[in-house]
Amino acid sequence: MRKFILLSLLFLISICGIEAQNVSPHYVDGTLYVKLTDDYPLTFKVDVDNGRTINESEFPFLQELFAKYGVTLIAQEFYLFDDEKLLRTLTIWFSEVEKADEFIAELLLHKEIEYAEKPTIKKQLFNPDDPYCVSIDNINMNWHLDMIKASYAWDLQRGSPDIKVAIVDNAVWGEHEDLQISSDNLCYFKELGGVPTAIIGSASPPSSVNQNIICSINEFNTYCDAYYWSHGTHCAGLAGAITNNGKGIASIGSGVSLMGVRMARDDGILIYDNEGVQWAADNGAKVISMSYCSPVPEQTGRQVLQTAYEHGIILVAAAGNGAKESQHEGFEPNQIIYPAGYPFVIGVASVNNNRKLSSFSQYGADRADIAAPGGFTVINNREWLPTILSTTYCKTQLLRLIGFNFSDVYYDAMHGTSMACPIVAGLCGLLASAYPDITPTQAKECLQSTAQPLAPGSNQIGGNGIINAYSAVLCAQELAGNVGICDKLTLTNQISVYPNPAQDILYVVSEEGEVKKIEILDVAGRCVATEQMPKSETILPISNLTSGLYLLKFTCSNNEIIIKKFIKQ
Amino acid sequence: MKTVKKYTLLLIITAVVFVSCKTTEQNVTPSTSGEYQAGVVMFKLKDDYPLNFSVKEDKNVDLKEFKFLRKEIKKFEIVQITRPFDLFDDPKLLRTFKIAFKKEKNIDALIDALNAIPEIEYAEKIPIKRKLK
Repeated sequence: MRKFILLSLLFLISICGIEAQNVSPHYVDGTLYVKLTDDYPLTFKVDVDNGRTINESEFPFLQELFAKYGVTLIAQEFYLFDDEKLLRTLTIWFSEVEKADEFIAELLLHKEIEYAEKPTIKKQLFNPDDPYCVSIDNINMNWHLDMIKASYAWDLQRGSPDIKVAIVDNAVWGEHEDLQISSDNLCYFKELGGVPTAIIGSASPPSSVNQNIICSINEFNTYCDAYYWSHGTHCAGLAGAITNNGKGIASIGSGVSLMGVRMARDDGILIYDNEGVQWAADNGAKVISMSYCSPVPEQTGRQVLQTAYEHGIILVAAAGNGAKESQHEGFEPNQIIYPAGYPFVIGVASVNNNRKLSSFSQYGADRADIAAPGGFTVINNREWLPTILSTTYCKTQLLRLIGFNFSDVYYDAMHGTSMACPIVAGLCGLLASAYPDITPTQAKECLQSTAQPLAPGSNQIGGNGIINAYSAVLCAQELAGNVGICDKLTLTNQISVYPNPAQDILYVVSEEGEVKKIEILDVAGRCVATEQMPKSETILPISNLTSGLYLLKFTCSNNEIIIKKFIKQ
Repeated sequence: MKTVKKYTLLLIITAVVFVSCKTTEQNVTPSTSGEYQAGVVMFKLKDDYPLNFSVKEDKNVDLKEFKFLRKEIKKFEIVQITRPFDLFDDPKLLRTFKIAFKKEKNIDALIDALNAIPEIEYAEKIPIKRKLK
């Protein structure tokens, strides 16, 4: 009974320990799972009446280690269907919590132990309650967030209000129920005495635009004023619409502070782009999203952007929609456009829900550095449905006209690299929230190094593929020092060793640059082989080793250690 | 009679001043032409040009500030010079100016003329941006 009380107490302590993790944010401190080899006899005595505890003396070969690491209790917690592997899996509680890795390494030196590991802390995936974050008429309107692994990223980071993401666009209706942008973060430009002057407090379209107009299909196909003026509001929603508020949509960067900068004159012509970028940068923007372009570069605009870049501001721009046909008279299809074409700007291509680049999306080096959802739901290989849903200034036009049971709300679908761009900007807002000192170069590297591949047969881009929000945030956390590289490698199982058992050659696969040294240790802990600065796939010749159990010791670039075990035949 | 004449003259002067102000105001509001803004260009002084010119709080620069522009001011009817960008006091942006001028059709000639001035690093037209949808 005493032991049962003790076990209960330890259980409570371990639960509390989860809340008060001092050593690792990802593992339960002071606890290990240890699995005995499959041939270890199941003759040890388990006190079933006292929380399935086991006396330390049942494992004489471990007595020394138990004393060294202050083992307080051993239990056989798992017994499901009397599975023999589970019955050989022990939970060990110990007091030397900071020496868990050392303890594991020493346990693995014993041939009776197959593996030892730290139990991971599980977290519930964030599941926002926004009503349009679901299927509408059986069409998934959330594929853009699913594809980029947003839910997983939100468990790491949902954005800090200290990080400002600016949407420089034709107009942004900051008062939208799902945006609620602070008036200090909104501006438009007015010519005062011939000088474009920022007027703070609003970035909305001009009052002449009828926000509640319902356009007919003919009107829509020619010019639906309110829909045209919704472009910037749509982009703002994709970057940072308020999430989990029971209204509208969810967005990747909902926790950041949005800025809305109107660069259009009242006649809709976009001329205050450089003034808008300057205002955003001057007023604290860390990320600037630019879903606009010109086919010709300009030295002044380039200098404004370069100045912002040199001061640590992450610049993101749409790669362009002219893959098949230029949007500019006299220019070739897929010609480089600006600002996406400047080397210090992250150019964003658009993908469809089939993970291929959208047919309109510009592609290739110098045009696009990364891809994000901005295209269509593909049905029967046709780019069929525009399903990137976001906030609008107008009432629903497009989805209503194409027959969705969805209307009379300030949300609608749009498509284009314009939509892909703010999704990347919102993600950059999360990266900066995880690591406020992140540089634009580091942000680009995090996006590219963690990207998911495009589907086979897709047009290719300069970078690696589609953003992976979860891995990109992990990358930023790693830069901030909040997570060890080895933690990341262990959590995602990114080191694999095969075959095991092995005869002549052992293959080790890890992410290049993350492991700086691999050592092979024998059971006495002596180093018998070393590989410095291994590549992503390293071949270790082991034919000269005698048969038996060995340990692989991985030293990560931040000096953390991972131990794996293999058998030489 | 003398008083009536005096008032008529005053009225004429007021009208002339008003019309002239309106004309100036209209010409510094950028219009557009194709891919570029009409009636406005940018130019940048070379990096070694001393930063000792004066810029007003409203970003305007006195037309007389840059003597090397005297000929172009007259020929292209330049009505305003401003320095629109001062982001992070970047020295390149502090040397970059916008010119508003009346002879919109002669924009290419103005660019050529500005590029021929030794103190100027470059002059360029201002592209109009398009949203990408």
